[in-house]
Amino acid sequence: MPGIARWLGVLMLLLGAPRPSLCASMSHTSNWAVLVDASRYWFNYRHAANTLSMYRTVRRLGVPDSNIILMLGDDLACDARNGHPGRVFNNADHSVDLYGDSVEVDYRGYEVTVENFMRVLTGRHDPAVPRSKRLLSDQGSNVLVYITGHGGNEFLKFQDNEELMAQDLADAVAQMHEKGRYREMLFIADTCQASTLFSRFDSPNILTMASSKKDESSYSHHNDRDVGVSVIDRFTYHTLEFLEQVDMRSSVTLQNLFGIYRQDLLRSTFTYQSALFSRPLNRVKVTEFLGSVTVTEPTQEVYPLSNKERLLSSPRLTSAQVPPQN
Amino acid sequence: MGLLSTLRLSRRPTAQQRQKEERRYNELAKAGKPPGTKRLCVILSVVLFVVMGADVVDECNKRNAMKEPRCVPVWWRTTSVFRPTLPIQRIESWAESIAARPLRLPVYLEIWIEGVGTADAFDSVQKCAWDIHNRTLEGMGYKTITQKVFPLGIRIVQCGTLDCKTVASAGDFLPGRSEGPCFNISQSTCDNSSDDALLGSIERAGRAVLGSYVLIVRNGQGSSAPKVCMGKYRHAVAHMVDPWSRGALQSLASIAVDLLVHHWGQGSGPNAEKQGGQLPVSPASQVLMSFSLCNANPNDGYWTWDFDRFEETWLRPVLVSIEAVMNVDVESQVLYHTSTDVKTKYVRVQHAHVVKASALPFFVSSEWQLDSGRTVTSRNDRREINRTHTAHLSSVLSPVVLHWVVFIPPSNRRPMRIVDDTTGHASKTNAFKIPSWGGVLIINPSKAVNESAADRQLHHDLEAVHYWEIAAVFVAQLRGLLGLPETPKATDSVQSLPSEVRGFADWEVDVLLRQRAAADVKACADTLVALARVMQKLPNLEMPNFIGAQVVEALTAGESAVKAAAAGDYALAVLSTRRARRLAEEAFTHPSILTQLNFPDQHKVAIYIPLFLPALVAVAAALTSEVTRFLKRRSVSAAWRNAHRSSAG
Repeated sequence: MPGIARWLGVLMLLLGAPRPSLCASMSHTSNWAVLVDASRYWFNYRHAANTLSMYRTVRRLGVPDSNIILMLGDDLACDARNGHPGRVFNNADHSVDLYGDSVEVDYRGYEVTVENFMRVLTGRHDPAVPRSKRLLSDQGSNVLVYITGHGGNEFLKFQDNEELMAQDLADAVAQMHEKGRYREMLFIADTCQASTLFSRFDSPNILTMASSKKDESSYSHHNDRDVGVSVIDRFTYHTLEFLEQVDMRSSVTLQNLFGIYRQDLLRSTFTYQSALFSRPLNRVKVTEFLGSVTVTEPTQEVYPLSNKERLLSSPRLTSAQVPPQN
Repeated sequence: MGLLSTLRLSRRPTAQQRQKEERRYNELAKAGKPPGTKRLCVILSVVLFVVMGADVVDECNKRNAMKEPRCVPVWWRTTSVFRPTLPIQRIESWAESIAARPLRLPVYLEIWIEGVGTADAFDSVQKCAWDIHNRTLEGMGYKTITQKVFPLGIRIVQCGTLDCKTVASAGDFLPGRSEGPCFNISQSTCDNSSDDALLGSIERAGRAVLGSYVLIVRNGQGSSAPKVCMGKYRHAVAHMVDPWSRGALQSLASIAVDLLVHHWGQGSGPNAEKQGGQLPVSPASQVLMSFSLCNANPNDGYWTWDFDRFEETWLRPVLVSIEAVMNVDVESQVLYHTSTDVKTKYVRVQHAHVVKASALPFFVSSEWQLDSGRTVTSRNDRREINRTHTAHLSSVLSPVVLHWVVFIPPSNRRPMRIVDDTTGHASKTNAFKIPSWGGVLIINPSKAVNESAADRQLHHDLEAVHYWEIAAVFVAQLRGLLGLPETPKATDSVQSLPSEVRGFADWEVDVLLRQRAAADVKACADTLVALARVMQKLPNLEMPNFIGAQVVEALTAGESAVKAAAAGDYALAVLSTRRARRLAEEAFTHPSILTQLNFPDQHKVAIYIPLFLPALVAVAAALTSEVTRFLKRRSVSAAWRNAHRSSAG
């Protein structure tokens, strides 16, 4: 018996021993987030609330504001119909003011266009566009793109005026891939027929999450009788409910997240597309996309610069041999 | 209304006239007269006008007009995607040649040996030169040594009391005069002043140039394992007893290989592209250094700095020395109320509030307004716009921003020290760096002790020692971010002198230049290939014509860089690689390129049917009525002629 127990123990060890992670050595170096609320008007309050909730979450998980591109289709906090001026809520209990402090909206109102969205993704901006409005990611960056609004089969409406086509999105991502503007990308869409928006992707290392499949609508979660409209969508609501349990140091994976989406909660079918993604989902931490962890290296010694007296008496300050600037 | 109707409307006949005309027409038909084709021609030309487009009517009147490519209808032309033809073939072949033989700037080592060797020694010297050459390539990581993978030249010069002559050489890169200069080395100690003194004689010898290094071997007292004194320029001095002996030459070879592989020749290995690609420099070589002085709690005293003076005294010499590698813009700000989320604990042994090193990733809060408010166009860029003729293409690339944070903890948490988790030792620098972001330094200034509560002053200036500390940490961190050791590393055989004023030795700048040149050429090739592939892959991507010209320009610059590198012209090679990369990147990221022409088929139908259907109905109806009329008359007249012929026959 003891022999069997020992062998069992060895077997357990072999099976349960944590395998060395293949991806640990090539982890990402920065995190970026593009959060888009594509619709406008007061009755689309919930889309702005969805986006601001995601904004709040990624900030809480450590993504600095300079790495978040926030596009809000309409300024609902200052809407004449807002009974709580300057505030936006995502729950009827009004526990969290999403518009509280230091929300930096990068693209607002009429600036939220398909063109600007494409420019953000491809990095093709007019020189006058400030840095804070640009996605300055590189081939070490993990990029999160969250889109909400009114969608249809292979399109998403922007501002009730124009459409973002699935092919446009796929083309932009193809160019991002060619230019090395991301390492891995996570797309999240909370719209009707959301999965169709991602149907044209063919670039590697793309993971998509969609609130509904083709010919399905995505629904709002609940109405706020005080605000007068519904304040959040089902898919985003349940996502946030899960993410509230996550903090910067958490090791919760996307597999865990995908497990919470049930038909009876969403009233639509959650779909994800991982065919273009190279890693198993139970190895991908939620914070790899929604959070940001910095790598720091302590400085061991100061450089032995001379003190000021010697600096001023030194014979050679500049090097004459450097080539001129281009 | 169709165009035909418009034509007919110009002189519309009355109903009576038309009836009269029809009657006459029918009578003529019955009289056996065949129909004329004039009317039909007019109608057909109108149809052609509509189908072929207004600008090609003249062409279409000719017989062969249909075959002409100019006969594309106007609407087709206006709705089709416009793009220049890129020299895809040329791009691909150039990229392949770069991949097969990456750009490497040459490295040239000259060894000046004091004293006169015997004839016996000269045999082993030649062997020694090749030994250094091959072992260096091996040490750099090249698998094949036989191929000319990297232009490296070794030359050994005998420096007697009267004349100097080359006694051995190896490698394929040997510029300059073959005769070395006579020189008189007075250096005996390894310090900065003797290093500076030597520079003069090296410069007179014409050897103090980019990529060219001199190892001076003195005959004199020295141990069997000589220590090399490597200065902050491009030369080093070794002392050896009887350097021309066989044993001395062997250890000399080891020293030379060590110097080339670990110091002077860095940035030439097989992975130079990768090293260069990791430098925090934008494609247009722009770097914006943003210095922030962060007062965590200003309510009980805050510090400000005289940044202009600090920049002039400490930063300028450093930034000037790396000017060839990057164009640096500097900006500064003082921030208040920048509290950190990291918890500190007072440790009696350290007499300090301790921050664990493992907590440092969370030290900089995203609430701090470190963001540079600048737009992308920097001072240097604007200068460039004025200078170049391609103003429309300038400055679409954003600079890399490096943040340098000087953090002053609140008074109740001073002094604050960073302590290593495992060893428990306090950090010597109290600073840490964040790769490709910048560095953070915690300083603990103290207020004047004897101030009374009554006239307690809140505002203080940083003292000279703080400026020195900030500058010294900045240089160490910047060197770290650029992939160099933070402080000059001393090995068993090499003692290296720090560049006390500039922070970077001349040869270190050479290393960075080589890495950048290699990385820039590769980036240029990759970007052009990416652009070509994007164009082939996305048929709906529109592109203005000048992008094509820009691509050709980038290619030309890239090709000339390769040529310059082969000729050993550092300055031109560096200029051309940088220009090639900037042009290529600007072509790719130019704001005028945008995919927005993906329309679904339903959309196209919905747009064009309302436009074309009404016009086509009128044109088609007119055409059918005219043709039937023509056919009818022809058959009637033919019938009459048949009847008459048979009656006549």
